[in-house]
Amino acid sequence: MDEQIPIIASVASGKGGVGKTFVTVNLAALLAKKKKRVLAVDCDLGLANMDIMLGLDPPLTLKDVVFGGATIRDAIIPTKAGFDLIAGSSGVKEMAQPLYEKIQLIKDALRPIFPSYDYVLLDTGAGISEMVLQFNLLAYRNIIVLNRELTSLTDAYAMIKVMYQIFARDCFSVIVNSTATEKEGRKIFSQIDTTCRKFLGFPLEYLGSITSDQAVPRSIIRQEVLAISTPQSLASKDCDCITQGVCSWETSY
Amino acid sequence: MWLAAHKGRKTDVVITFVDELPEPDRDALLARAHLVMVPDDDLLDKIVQLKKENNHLRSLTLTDALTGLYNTRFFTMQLEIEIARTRRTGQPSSMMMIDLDNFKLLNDTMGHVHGNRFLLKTASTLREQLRPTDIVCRYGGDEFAVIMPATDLFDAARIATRLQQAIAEIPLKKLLPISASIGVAEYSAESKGGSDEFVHQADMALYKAKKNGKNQVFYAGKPEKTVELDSVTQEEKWSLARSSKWRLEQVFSAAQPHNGTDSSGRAGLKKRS
Repeated sequence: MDEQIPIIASVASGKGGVGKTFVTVNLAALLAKKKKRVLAVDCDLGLANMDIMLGLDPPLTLKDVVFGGATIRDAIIPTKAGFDLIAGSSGVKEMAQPLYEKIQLIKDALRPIFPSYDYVLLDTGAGISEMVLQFNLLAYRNIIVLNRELTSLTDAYAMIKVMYQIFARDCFSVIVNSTATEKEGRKIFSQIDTTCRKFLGFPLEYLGSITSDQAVPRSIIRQEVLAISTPQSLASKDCDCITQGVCSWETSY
Repeated sequence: MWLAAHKGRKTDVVITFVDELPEPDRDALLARAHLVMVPDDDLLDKIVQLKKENNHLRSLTLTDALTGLYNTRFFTMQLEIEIARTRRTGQPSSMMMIDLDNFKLLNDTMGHVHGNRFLLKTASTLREQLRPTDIVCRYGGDEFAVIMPATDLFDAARIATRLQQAIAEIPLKKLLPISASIGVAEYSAESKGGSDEFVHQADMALYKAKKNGKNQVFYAGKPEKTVELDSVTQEEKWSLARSSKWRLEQVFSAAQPHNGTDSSGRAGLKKRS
């Protein structure tokens, strides 16, 4: 990266449990493998779980930054996969629905450390709460993760519509998770893309699909990063493709 | 054998066998007893009856006799609770003051019976239009107040606009300019004053609405969100769901034995059309 501005991308879905955190972690690891400086932030402050996925026990989280007066740099944890992590907090009610000022505080704390990275990935929570929207707003790129369930499709669309209506965002990248085939991924994407074009008036970018693979739940149980531990698996290869798509953003900046 | 439960000198409840008492004492005791049981009484029935009476009496102290809405006393109590809740959770609460425009004109031209009827209609309109968690009170003659727990100014203002329209649409026999002016205020975690200040804000907003020509909604402060939002429409949902139909067919075609024609291919054609 020639400039000091990193690519800031949020990973959102609307519906929970479609694989936001999985996508974030693997994307971060693969980007790091490409010798990029990557920071992943777990912005799901109510029910954060990126640290669990990586098998880490973070000494400091965003909660300590907001309520404990810790500096954001102290909360940065290097991971084995090669990227830096700022963990969120789990089970803290005040963080689940923080006041608008607290969200601003987090955003203000994050901004100064951005220039140290090439990529910043913000893993947002489920739903379309103020917090989720604010973190999506902080990012220049919004990655929407969905799966084959119709509810996830509708929720993803609702998320896009809200971002468009409130913040006039019209540039979203879609990843379809746990598909049977690559073709099915395209099919599902074309559906949300068609709806977006028709009702909101802009197209979506297709980043790719991730094939449903037994290796995925296995890696989660083992608290490993799939793309690093089993790079030969189908899902890993799909993640590779997606990472290449994300890298192509650099030139389009 | 008669039993009387009454307050004793040292304890809250004492049970006395009334039969053994001399007559004057007995009458005095029966007059001040909480509960009197005669041989045919069923205890459960008796308690149910007392409970009902109690509820009725309580409702008289908390609701308005004409409309059945809550009265000012309850309103003031509940407002304190909502303010405490906002301070604790940080979630804003809102309230609105509703005043009927030109209501005196209705009373004067059509009489108080019609006036009261209109108040009843207004009360039922408010109940219909508001959410179950909102607390509707009759604040004065033709004034109503609504507490909206866990509602920010943006939502409260939208609800107020809906109410204003609904009240303006209440049918009247004579063509009278009866409408509603509404003042809305929000209590947030940052609000400094107490309930008086909160009510005052809504009152001031109402005053502005009145002064500005009635039949409108004014709010104290500025709602943060100003964009008019549409929800995801049924049409959009259908558009999204079309693919799931295709997926259903896929599932079925995988479950049933194939007979040459590719069902997914057929569905693919259908999708394109």
